[in-house]
Amino acid sequence: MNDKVMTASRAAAFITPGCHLGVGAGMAMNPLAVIREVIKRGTSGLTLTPVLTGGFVADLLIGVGAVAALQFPQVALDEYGPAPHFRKKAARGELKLFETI
Amino acid sequence: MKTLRDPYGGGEYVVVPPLRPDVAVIHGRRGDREGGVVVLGGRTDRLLALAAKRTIAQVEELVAPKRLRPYQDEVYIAPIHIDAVVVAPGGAHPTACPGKYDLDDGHLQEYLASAQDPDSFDRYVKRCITGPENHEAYLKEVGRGDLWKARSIGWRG
Amino acid sequence: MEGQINRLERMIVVVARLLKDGQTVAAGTLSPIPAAACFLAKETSAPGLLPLIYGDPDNRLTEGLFELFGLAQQGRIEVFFLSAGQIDGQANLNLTVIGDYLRPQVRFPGGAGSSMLYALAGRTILFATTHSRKILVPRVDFVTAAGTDGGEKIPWRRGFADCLVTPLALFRFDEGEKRLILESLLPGATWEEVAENTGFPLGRKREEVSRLPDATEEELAILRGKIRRKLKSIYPVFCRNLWGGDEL
Repeated sequence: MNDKVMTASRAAAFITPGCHLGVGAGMAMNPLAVIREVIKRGTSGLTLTPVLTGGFVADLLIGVGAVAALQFPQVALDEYGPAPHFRKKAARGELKLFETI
Repeated sequence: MKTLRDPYGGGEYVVVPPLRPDVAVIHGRRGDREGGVVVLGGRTDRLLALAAKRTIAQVEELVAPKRLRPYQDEVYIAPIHIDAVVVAPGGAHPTACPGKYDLDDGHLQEYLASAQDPDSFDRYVKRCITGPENHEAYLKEVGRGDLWKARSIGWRG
Repeated sequence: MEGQINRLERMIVVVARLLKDGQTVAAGTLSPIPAAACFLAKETSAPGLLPLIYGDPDNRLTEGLFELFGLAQQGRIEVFFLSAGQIDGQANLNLTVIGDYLRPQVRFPGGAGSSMLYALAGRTILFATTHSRKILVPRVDFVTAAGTDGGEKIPWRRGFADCLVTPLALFRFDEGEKRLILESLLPGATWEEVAENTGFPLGRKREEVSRLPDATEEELAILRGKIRRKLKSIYPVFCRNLWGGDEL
Protein backbone atom coordinates (compact mmCIF):
# COMPACT_ATOMS: atom_id res chain seq x y z
CA MET A 1 0.00 0.00 0.00
CA ASN A 2 1.13 3.49 -0.80
CA ASP A 3 0.73 5.25 2.56
CA LYS A 4 0.17 8.94 1.89
CA VAL A 5 -0.40 10.01 5.50
CA MET A 6 2.01 12.72 6.61
CA THR A 7 2.23 15.67 8.99
CA ALA A 8 0.87 19.08 8.08
CA SER A 9 4.36 20.59 8.12
CA ARG A 10 5.73 17.98 5.69
CA ALA A 11 2.78 18.46 3.33
CA ALA A 12 3.23 22.24 3.52
CA ALA A 13 6.68 21.80 1.93
CA PHE A 14 4.94 20.81 -1.34
CA ILE A 15 3.99 24.46 -1.62
CA THR A 16 7.14 26.17 -2.83
CA PRO A 17 7.68 29.95 -3.06
CA GLY A 18 6.10 31.43 -6.16
CA CYS A 19 3.99 28.40 -7.04
CA HIS A 20 0.33 28.39 -8.09
CA LEU A 21 -1.74 27.28 -5.10
CA GLY A 22 -5.40 26.27 -5.25
CA VAL A 23 -7.39 26.14 -2.01
CA GLY A 24 -10.87 25.02 -1.11
CA ALA A 25 -12.33 28.27 0.22
CA GLY A 26 -15.66 29.90 1.09
CA MET A 27 -16.44 30.08 4.81
CA ALA A 28 -16.52 26.33 5.41
CA MET A 29 -13.97 23.52 5.00
CA ASN A 30 -10.95 25.83 4.55
CA PRO A 31 -7.80 23.68 4.78
CA LEU A 32 -6.28 25.80 7.55
CA ALA A 33 -4.20 23.20 9.40
CA VAL A 34 -1.93 22.90 6.34
CA ILE A 35 -2.18 26.59 5.37
CA ARG A 36 -1.01 27.71 8.84
CA GLU A 37 2.10 25.55 8.31
CA VAL A 38 2.62 27.17 4.89
CA ILE A 39 2.53 30.59 6.57
CA LYS A 40 4.93 29.42 9.32
CA ARG A 41 7.46 28.48 6.63
CA GLY A 42 7.30 32.03 5.30
CA THR A 43 6.32 30.85 1.80
CA SER A 44 5.56 33.85 -0.40
CA GLY A 45 5.08 35.02 -3.98
CA LEU A 46 2.15 32.65 -4.46
CA THR A 47 -0.43 32.80 -7.20
CA LEU A 48 -3.60 31.93 -5.31
CA THR A 49 -6.76 30.40 -6.73
CA PRO A 50 -9.42 30.11 -4.04
CA VAL A 51 -12.25 27.87 -5.21
CA LEU A 52 -15.69 29.33 -4.35
CA THR A 53 -15.53 32.81 -2.86
CA GLY A 54 -12.10 33.68 -1.51
CA GLY A 55 -13.25 33.41 2.07
CA PHE A 56 -11.17 33.28 5.22
CA VAL A 57 -8.20 31.31 3.87
CA ALA A 58 -7.62 33.74 0.98
CA ASP A 59 -7.85 36.82 3.18
CA LEU A 60 -5.44 35.29 5.72
CA LEU A 61 -2.85 34.38 3.06
CA ILE A 62 -3.17 37.87 1.55
CA GLY A 63 -2.91 39.44 5.03
CA VAL A 64 0.40 37.73 5.87
CA GLY A 65 1.85 38.79 2.50
CA ALA A 66 2.10 35.30 1.00
CA VAL A 67 0.15 36.20 -2.15
CA ALA A 68 1.58 38.02 -5.18
CA ALA A 69 -1.24 37.26 -7.62
CA LEU A 70 -4.84 36.31 -7.16
CA GLN A 71 -7.06 34.42 -9.60
CA PHE A 72 -10.60 34.83 -8.31
CA PRO A 73 -14.29 35.36 -8.95
CA GLN A 74 -15.05 36.92 -5.53
CA VAL A 75 -13.31 37.50 -2.22
CA ALA A 76 -15.58 38.14 0.76
CA LEU A 77 -16.15 36.72 4.22
CA ASP A 78 -19.79 36.04 3.32
CA GLU A 79 -21.88 37.08 6.35
CA TYR A 80 -18.87 38.75 7.97
CA GLY A 81 -18.73 41.26 5.15
CA PRO A 82 -15.77 42.43 3.04
CA ALA A 83 -12.47 40.57 3.37
CA PRO A 84 -10.36 43.24 5.10
CA HIS A 85 -6.86 42.41 3.84
CA PHE A 86 -8.03 41.74 0.27
CA ARG A 87 -9.94 45.01 0.20
CA LYS A 88 -7.01 47.02 1.54
CA LYS A 89 -4.28 45.47 -0.63
CA ALA A 90 -6.39 45.39 -3.81
CA ALA A 91 -7.24 49.09 -3.37
CA ARG A 92 -3.53 49.90 -2.95
CA GLY A 93 -2.67 47.97 -6.09
CA GLU A 94 -0.49 45.52 -4.13
CA LEU A 95 -1.97 42.39 -5.70
CA LYS A 96 -1.86 41.27 -9.29
CA LEU A 97 -5.49 40.45 -10.05
CA PHE A 98 -6.85 37.94 -12.55
CA GLU A 99 -10.53 38.49 -12.02
CA THR A 100 -13.42 36.56 -13.51
CA ILE A 101 -16.61 38.55 -13.22
CA MET B 1 -10.76 36.89 -24.15
CA LYS B 2 -10.42 34.78 -27.27
CA THR B 3 -13.13 33.15 -29.32
CA LEU B 4 -13.24 29.87 -31.17
CA ARG B 5 -15.54 28.39 -33.81
CA ASP B 6 -17.18 25.13 -32.74
CA PRO B 7 -15.76 22.63 -35.29
CA TYR B 8 -18.88 20.42 -35.05
CA GLY B 9 -21.96 22.61 -34.74
CA GLY B 10 -20.58 25.97 -35.82
CA GLY B 11 -21.11 29.08 -33.75
CA GLU B 12 -18.59 31.31 -32.05
CA TYR B 13 -17.63 30.62 -28.45
CA VAL B 14 -15.54 32.54 -25.90
CA VAL B 15 -12.79 30.33 -24.48
CA VAL B 16 -10.56 30.77 -21.44
CA PRO B 17 -7.36 28.90 -20.58
CA PRO B 18 -7.67 26.11 -17.98
CA LEU B 19 -6.63 26.70 -14.39
CA ARG B 20 -3.89 24.28 -13.48
CA PRO B 21 -2.58 24.89 -9.91
CA ASP B 22 0.80 23.36 -9.00
CA VAL B 23 -0.63 22.30 -5.65
CA ALA B 24 -4.16 22.21 -4.27
CA VAL B 25 -5.14 21.92 -0.61
CA ILE B 26 -8.62 20.77 0.40
CA HIS B 27 -10.35 19.75 3.63
CA GLY B 28 -12.32 16.50 3.77
CA ARG B 29 -14.57 14.81 6.29
CA ARG B 30 -12.86 11.41 6.03
CA GLY B 31 -9.84 9.92 4.33
CA ASP B 32 -7.91 6.66 4.14
CA ARG B 33 -4.15 6.00 4.09
CA GLU B 34 -4.04 5.52 0.31
CA GLY B 35 -5.58 8.91 -0.38
CA GLY B 36 -9.25 8.14 -0.86
CA VAL B 37 -11.12 11.15 0.49
CA VAL B 38 -14.71 12.20 1.12
CA VAL B 39 -15.38 15.93 0.86
CA LEU B 40 -18.50 18.01 1.36
CA GLY B 41 -20.76 18.28 -1.70
CA GLY B 42 -21.70 21.64 -3.18
CA ARG B 43 -18.11 22.90 -2.99
CA THR B 44 -16.27 21.97 -6.17
CA ASP B 45 -13.29 20.61 -4.15
CA ARG B 46 -13.15 17.50 -6.37
CA LEU B 47 -12.79 19.63 -9.50
CA LEU B 48 -9.89 21.46 -7.84
CA ALA B 49 -8.19 18.19 -6.92
CA LEU B 50 -8.55 16.95 -10.50
CA ALA B 51 -7.18 20.18 -11.98
CA ALA B 52 -4.10 20.50 -9.75
CA LYS B 53 -0.80 18.76 -10.42
CA ARG B 54 -0.58 17.62 -6.78
CA THR B 55 -3.27 17.68 -4.10
CA ILE B 56 -3.03 17.66 -0.31
CA ALA B 57 -6.16 16.56 1.54
CA GLN B 58 -6.42 17.28 5.23
CA VAL B 59 -9.19 15.23 6.88
CA GLU B 60 -11.21 15.25 10.07
CA GLU B 61 -10.83 11.52 10.50
CA LEU B 62 -8.67 8.68 9.17
CA VAL B 63 -10.90 5.70 8.35
CA ALA B 64 -10.86 2.30 6.63
CA PRO B 65 -11.52 2.49 2.85
CA LYS B 66 -14.98 0.93 3.25
CA ARG B 67 -16.04 3.91 5.38
CA LEU B 68 -15.43 6.26 2.47
CA ARG B 69 -18.82 5.57 0.91
CA PRO B 70 -20.28 9.07 0.55
CA TYR B 71 -23.57 10.25 2.03
CA GLN B 72 -26.01 12.30 -0.04
CA ASP B 73 -24.25 15.57 0.85
CA GLU B 74 -20.74 14.24 0.19
CA VAL B 75 -18.44 13.60 -2.79
CA TYR B 76 -15.80 10.87 -3.06
CA ILE B 77 -12.36 11.56 -4.56
CA ALA B 78 -10.28 8.56 -5.66
CA PRO B 79 -6.70 8.06 -4.32
CA ILE B 80 -5.06 8.72 -7.70
CA HIS B 81 -5.94 12.41 -7.34
CA ILE B 82 -4.55 12.77 -3.81
CA ASP B 83 -0.83 12.94 -3.01
CA ALA B 84 -0.85 13.61 0.73
CA VAL B 85 -3.30 12.94 3.55
CA VAL B 86 -2.99 15.05 6.71
CA VAL B 87 -5.06 13.99 9.71
CA ALA B 88 -6.35 17.26 11.18
CA PRO B 89 -9.54 17.10 13.23
CA GLY B 90 -10.77 20.66 13.63
CA GLY B 91 -8.47 21.56 10.73
CA ALA B 92 -11.00 23.90 9.10
CA HIS B 93 -11.29 26.08 12.23
CA PRO B 94 -12.31 28.95 12.38
CA THR B 95 -14.38 28.14 9.26
CA ALA B 96 -17.14 25.56 9.57
CA CYS B 97 -17.13 21.83 9.08
CA PRO B 98 -20.90 21.33 8.61
CA GLY B 99 -22.23 18.48 10.73
CA LYS B 100 -19.28 18.64 13.13
CA TYR B 101 -18.53 22.26 14.08
CA ASP B 102 -19.88 25.68 13.15
CA LEU B 103 -18.01 28.75 12.01
CA ASP B 104 -16.36 30.27 15.13
CA ASP B 105 -18.13 33.61 15.54
CA GLY B 106 -15.88 34.85 18.36
CA HIS B 107 -12.72 34.02 16.43
CA LEU B 108 -14.01 35.74 13.28
CA GLN B 109 -14.78 38.89 15.30
CA GLU B 110 -11.24 38.76 16.74
CA TYR B 111 -9.76 38.34 13.25
CA LEU B 112 -11.75 41.28 11.85
CA ALA B 113 -10.73 43.48 14.78
CA SER B 114 -7.07 42.47 14.37
CA ALA B 115 -7.16 43.39 10.66
CA GLN B 116 -7.69 47.04 11.59
CA ASP B 117 -3.96 47.79 11.97
CA PRO B 118 -0.64 46.03 11.29
CA ASP B 119 0.38 45.70 14.97
CA SER B 120 -2.79 43.99 16.06
CA PHE B 121 -2.63 41.70 13.02
CA ASP B 122 0.97 40.81 13.93
CA ARG B 123 -0.24 39.83 17.40
CA TYR B 124 -2.99 37.68 15.84
CA VAL B 125 -0.47 35.92 13.59
CA LYS B 126 1.92 35.28 16.51
CA ARG B 127 -0.83 33.92 18.76
CA CYS B 128 -2.66 31.80 16.18
CA ILE B 129 -0.13 30.85 13.52
CA THR B 130 3.58 31.19 14.28
CA GLY B 131 3.20 30.66 18.04
CA PRO B 132 1.50 27.25 18.34
CA GLU B 133 3.90 24.36 17.79
CA ASN B 134 1.38 22.27 15.87
CA HIS B 135 -2.32 21.95 15.05
CA GLU B 136 -3.18 20.42 18.44
CA ALA B 137 -1.49 23.34 20.22
CA TYR B 138 -3.37 25.79 17.92
CA LEU B 139 -6.74 24.29 18.84
CA LYS B 140 -5.88 24.58 22.57
CA GLU B 141 -4.76 28.20 22.06
CA VAL B 142 -8.06 29.17 20.39
CA GLY B 143 -10.13 27.33 22.99
CA ARG B 144 -11.17 24.39 20.80
CA GLY B 145 -9.07 21.59 22.30
CA ASP B 146 -12.27 19.53 22.32
CA LEU B 147 -12.08 19.16 18.52
CA TRP B 148 -8.72 17.38 18.80
CA LYS B 149 -9.92 15.06 21.55
CA ALA B 150 -12.88 14.07 19.42
CA ARG B 151 -10.59 12.70 16.70
CA SER B 152 -11.20 8.99 17.32
CA ILE B 153 -14.96 9.26 17.74
CA GLY B 154 -17.02 8.26 14.71
CA TRP B 155 -19.22 11.34 14.60
CA ARG B 156 -21.40 10.32 11.74
CA GLY B 157 -22.86 6.82 11.41
CA MET C 1 -49.32 44.34 13.46
CA GLU C 2 -47.81 46.56 10.74
CA GLY C 3 -45.47 48.42 13.06
CA GLN C 4 -43.97 45.18 14.27
CA ILE C 5 -42.96 43.84 10.88
CA ASN C 6 -39.35 44.41 9.92
CA ARG C 7 -38.71 45.84 6.45
CA LEU C 8 -36.48 42.91 5.54
CA GLU C 9 -39.30 40.52 6.50
CA ARG C 10 -41.57 42.44 4.13
CA MET C 11 -38.96 42.14 1.39
CA ILE C 12 -38.74 38.39 1.93
CA VAL C 13 -42.52 38.07 1.64
CA VAL C 14 -42.63 40.21 -1.52
CA VAL C 15 -39.91 38.14 -3.19
CA ALA C 16 -41.58 34.87 -2.12
CA ARG C 17 -44.81 35.95 -3.83
CA LEU C 18 -42.94 36.55 -7.10
CA LEU C 19 -41.99 32.87 -7.34
CA LYS C 20 -44.23 30.43 -9.16
CA ASP C 21 -44.97 26.82 -8.30
CA GLY C 22 -42.77 24.32 -10.10
CA GLN C 23 -39.96 26.74 -10.93
CA THR C 24 -36.28 25.93 -10.55
CA VAL C 25 -34.74 28.85 -8.70
CA ALA C 26 -31.16 29.40 -7.58
CA ALA C 27 -29.40 31.78 -5.21
CA GLY C 28 -25.65 32.25 -4.87
CA THR C 29 -23.43 33.74 -2.17
CA LEU C 30 -24.45 36.68 0.04
CA SER C 31 -28.16 36.12 -0.61
CA PRO C 32 -30.09 35.62 2.65
CA ILE C 33 -33.24 37.44 1.44
CA PRO C 34 -33.65 35.24 -1.68
CA ALA C 35 -32.85 32.10 0.33
CA ALA C 36 -35.53 32.95 2.90
CA ALA C 37 -37.99 33.90 0.13
CA CYS C 38 -37.48 30.58 -1.68
CA PHE C 39 -38.03 28.58 1.51
CA LEU C 40 -41.11 30.66 2.38
CA ALA C 41 -42.61 30.27 -1.10
CA LYS C 42 -42.10 26.51 -0.90
CA GLU C 43 -43.99 26.43 2.41
CA THR C 44 -46.84 28.63 1.15
CA SER C 45 -47.73 29.41 -2.48
CA ALA C 46 -45.23 27.23 -4.37
CA PRO C 47 -44.84 23.78 -2.79
CA GLY C 48 -43.36 22.40 -6.01
CA LEU C 49 -40.55 24.98 -6.14
CA LEU C 50 -37.03 23.57 -6.60
CA PRO C 51 -34.66 25.90 -4.74
CA LEU C 52 -30.91 25.48 -5.30
CA ILE C 53 -29.48 27.60 -2.51
CA TYR C 54 -25.74 28.09 -2.00
CA GLY C 55 -24.75 26.86 1.46
CA ASP C 56 -28.00 24.96 2.08
CA PRO C 57 -27.25 21.53 3.62
CA ASP C 58 -30.40 20.25 1.88
CA ASN C 59 -29.33 21.53 -1.54
CA ARG C 60 -29.67 18.50 -3.81
CA LEU C 61 -26.80 19.21 -6.18
CA THR C 62 -23.87 16.81 -6.43
CA GLU C 63 -20.94 19.21 -6.60
CA GLY C 64 -22.28 22.68 -6.26
CA LEU C 65 -21.43 25.81 -8.16
CA PHE C 66 -19.88 24.51 -11.37
CA GLU C 67 -22.86 22.21 -11.68
CA LEU C 68 -25.16 25.21 -11.21
CA PHE C 69 -23.32 27.08 -13.98
CA GLY C 70 -23.78 24.07 -16.26
CA LEU C 71 -27.50 23.99 -15.52
CA ALA C 72 -27.71 27.70 -16.30
CA GLN C 73 -25.98 27.13 -19.66
CA GLN C 74 -28.55 24.47 -20.46
CA GLY C 75 -31.36 26.91 -19.67
CA ARG C 76 -32.53 24.99 -16.63
CA ILE C 77 -32.29 27.81 -14.05
CA GLU C 78 -35.59 29.64 -14.47
CA VAL C 79 -35.04 32.29 -11.81
CA PHE C 80 -31.80 33.62 -10.35
CA PHE C 81 -31.12 36.36 -7.78
CA LEU C 82 -28.48 39.08 -7.83
CA SER C 83 -27.53 42.10 -5.79
CA ALA C 84 -24.63 44.56 -6.10
CA GLY C 85 -22.74 47.44 -4.56
CA GLN C 86 -24.25 49.68 -7.25
CA ILE C 87 -27.35 49.16 -9.41
CA ASP C 88 -28.46 51.63 -12.08
CA GLY C 89 -31.71 52.30 -13.93
CA GLN C 90 -30.63 50.12 -16.88
CA ALA C 91 -30.27 47.24 -14.40
CA ASN C 92 -26.47 47.17 -14.73
CA LEU C 93 -24.69 45.75 -11.68
CA ASN C 94 -21.37 46.76 -10.15
CA LEU C 95 -19.71 44.19 -7.90
CA THR C 96 -16.16 45.17 -8.83
CA VAL C 97 -14.82 48.68 -8.09
CA ILE C 98 -15.59 52.36 -7.69
CA GLY C 99 -12.83 54.38 -9.32
CA ASP C 100 -9.84 53.18 -11.31
CA TYR C 101 -9.68 49.38 -11.60
CA LEU C 102 -6.03 49.16 -10.53
CA ARG C 103 -6.24 51.78 -7.74
CA PRO C 104 -9.92 51.88 -6.77
CA GLN C 105 -11.50 54.07 -4.11
CA VAL C 106 -13.72 51.15 -3.17
CA ARG C 107 -12.96 47.51 -3.88
CA PHE C 108 -16.13 45.38 -3.95
CA PRO C 109 -15.89 41.57 -3.50
CA GLY C 110 -16.10 40.66 -7.21
CA GLY C 111 -18.75 39.38 -9.57
CA ALA C 112 -18.59 35.66 -8.76
CA GLY C 113 -20.09 34.63 -12.09
CA SER C 114 -22.95 37.13 -11.90
CA SER C 115 -22.25 38.28 -15.45
CA MET C 116 -22.79 34.83 -16.91
CA LEU C 117 -25.74 33.86 -14.71
CA TYR C 118 -27.49 37.19 -15.40
CA ALA C 119 -27.36 36.36 -19.11
CA LEU C 120 -28.19 32.66 -18.91
CA ALA C 121 -30.91 32.44 -16.25
CA GLY C 122 -34.50 32.62 -17.49
CA ARG C 123 -34.94 35.82 -15.52
CA THR C 124 -33.22 37.48 -12.60
CA ILE C 125 -34.76 39.08 -9.54
CA LEU C 126 -32.52 41.90 -8.31
CA PHE C 127 -32.52 42.83 -4.65
CA ALA C 128 -30.95 45.54 -2.48
CA THR C 129 -31.16 45.30 1.30
CA THR C 130 -30.94 49.07 1.70
CA HIS C 131 -32.63 51.63 -0.54
CA SER C 132 -30.25 54.57 -0.99
CA ARG C 133 -28.68 56.80 -3.63
CA LYS C 134 -25.34 55.21 -2.77
CA ILE C 135 -26.57 51.88 -4.18
CA LEU C 136 -29.28 52.95 -6.68
CA VAL C 137 -27.14 55.18 -8.87
CA PRO C 138 -27.70 57.02 -12.21
CA ARG C 139 -24.91 55.00 -13.83
CA VAL C 140 -22.72 52.24 -12.30
CA ASP C 141 -18.98 53.05 -12.08
CA PHE C 142 -18.09 49.61 -13.45
CA VAL C 143 -20.34 47.19 -15.36
CA THR C 144 -19.74 43.78 -13.78
CA ALA C 145 -22.97 42.29 -15.11
CA ALA C 146 -24.79 44.11 -17.90
CA GLY C 147 -28.54 44.66 -17.64
CA THR C 148 -28.93 45.63 -21.30
CA ASP C 149 -26.75 45.79 -24.38
CA GLY C 150 -26.59 49.58 -24.31
CA GLY C 151 -26.70 49.64 -28.09
CA GLU C 152 -23.36 47.83 -28.31
CA LYS C 153 -22.60 44.38 -29.56
CA ILE C 154 -23.02 41.89 -26.73
CA PRO C 155 -22.99 38.11 -26.61
CA TRP C 156 -26.26 36.22 -26.82
CA ARG C 157 -28.33 36.19 -23.66
CA ARG C 158 -31.37 34.20 -22.57
CA GLY C 159 -32.91 36.41 -19.94
CA PHE C 160 -32.97 39.87 -18.42
CA ALA C 161 -33.77 41.35 -15.06
CA ASP C 162 -37.35 40.68 -14.03
CA CYS C 163 -37.57 43.25 -11.27
CA LEU C 164 -35.72 44.95 -8.43
CA VAL C 165 -36.95 44.61 -4.86
CA THR C 166 -35.77 46.91 -2.06
CA PRO C 167 -37.09 47.47 1.48
CA LEU C 168 -39.22 50.30 0.02
CA ALA C 169 -40.22 49.42 -3.51
CA LEU C 170 -40.69 47.00 -6.38
CA PHE C 171 -39.32 48.16 -9.75
CA ARG C 172 -40.24 46.18 -12.88
CA PHE C 173 -37.71 45.84 -15.71
CA ASP C 174 -39.27 46.92 -19.01
CA GLU C 175 -37.60 44.95 -21.81
CA GLY C 176 -38.86 47.39 -24.46
CA GLU C 177 -37.62 50.52 -22.70
CA LYS C 178 -34.67 48.58 -21.22
CA ARG C 179 -34.94 50.19 -17.83
CA LEU C 180 -36.32 49.71 -14.35
CA ILE C 181 -39.70 51.33 -13.71
CA LEU C 182 -41.27 51.83 -10.29
CA GLU C 183 -44.33 49.60 -10.04
CA SER C 184 -45.29 49.34 -6.36
CA LEU C 185 -44.47 50.54 -2.88
CA LEU C 186 -43.93 48.10 -0.05
CA PRO C 187 -46.20 48.57 2.99
CA GLY C 188 -44.96 51.37 5.20
CA ALA C 189 -42.98 53.09 2.41
CA THR C 190 -43.90 56.47 0.92
CA TRP C 191 -43.46 57.86 -2.58
CA GLU C 192 -41.35 60.72 -1.15
CA GLU C 193 -39.03 58.27 0.58
CA VAL C 194 -38.50 56.33 -2.66
CA ALA C 195 -38.02 59.47 -4.78
CA GLU C 196 -35.55 60.92 -2.28
CA ASN C 197 -33.44 57.78 -2.08
CA THR C 198 -33.32 56.64 -5.72
CA GLY C 199 -30.55 57.91 -7.98
CA PHE C 200 -32.26 57.05 -11.29
CA PRO C 201 -35.63 58.19 -12.74
CA LEU C 202 -38.62 56.32 -11.26
CA GLY C 203 -40.43 56.28 -14.63
CA ARG C 204 -43.93 56.56 -13.12
CA LYS C 205 -46.04 59.29 -11.58
CA ARG C 206 -47.08 59.02 -7.95
CA GLU C 207 -50.70 58.10 -8.86
CA GLU C 208 -49.57 55.32 -11.22
CA VAL C 209 -47.82 53.41 -8.48
CA SER C 210 -49.64 50.67 -6.58
CA ARG C 211 -49.15 49.51 -3.01
CA LEU C 212 -48.35 45.88 -2.24
CA PRO C 213 -50.47 44.03 0.33
CA ASP C 214 -48.70 43.42 3.62
CA ALA C 215 -47.42 40.10 4.89
CA THR C 216 -50.18 37.91 6.29
CA GLU C 217 -50.15 36.51 9.82
CA GLU C 218 -49.66 33.06 8.30
CA GLU C 219 -46.67 34.13 6.20
CA LEU C 220 -45.07 35.81 9.20
CA ALA C 221 -45.66 32.82 11.45
CA ILE C 222 -44.01 30.45 8.97
CA LEU C 223 -41.17 32.90 8.30
CA ARG C 224 -40.41 33.43 11.99
CA GLY C 225 -40.79 29.73 12.81
CA LYS C 226 -39.79 27.06 10.35
CA ILE C 227 -37.94 29.33 7.89
CA ARG C 228 -35.95 31.09 10.60
CA ARG C 229 -34.79 27.72 11.97
CA LYS C 230 -33.73 26.53 8.52
CA LEU C 231 -32.12 29.81 7.49
CA LYS C 232 -30.07 29.88 10.70
CA SER C 233 -27.90 27.01 9.47
CA ILE C 234 -26.97 29.00 6.33
CA TYR C 235 -27.12 32.65 7.47
CA PRO C 236 -26.71 32.72 11.29
CA VAL C 237 -25.54 36.34 11.43
CA PHE C 238 -28.43 37.58 9.25
CA CYS C 239 -30.90 35.72 11.49
CA ARG C 240 -29.35 37.12 14.67
CA ASN C 241 -29.47 40.68 13.30
CA LEU C 242 -33.06 40.36 12.10
CA TRP C 243 -34.67 38.33 14.86
CA GLY C 244 -32.29 38.68 17.80
CA GLY C 245 -30.94 35.92 20.02
CA ASP C 246 -27.29 35.86 21.02
CA GLU C 247 -26.43 32.33 20.06
CA LEU C 248 -25.35 31.53 16.53
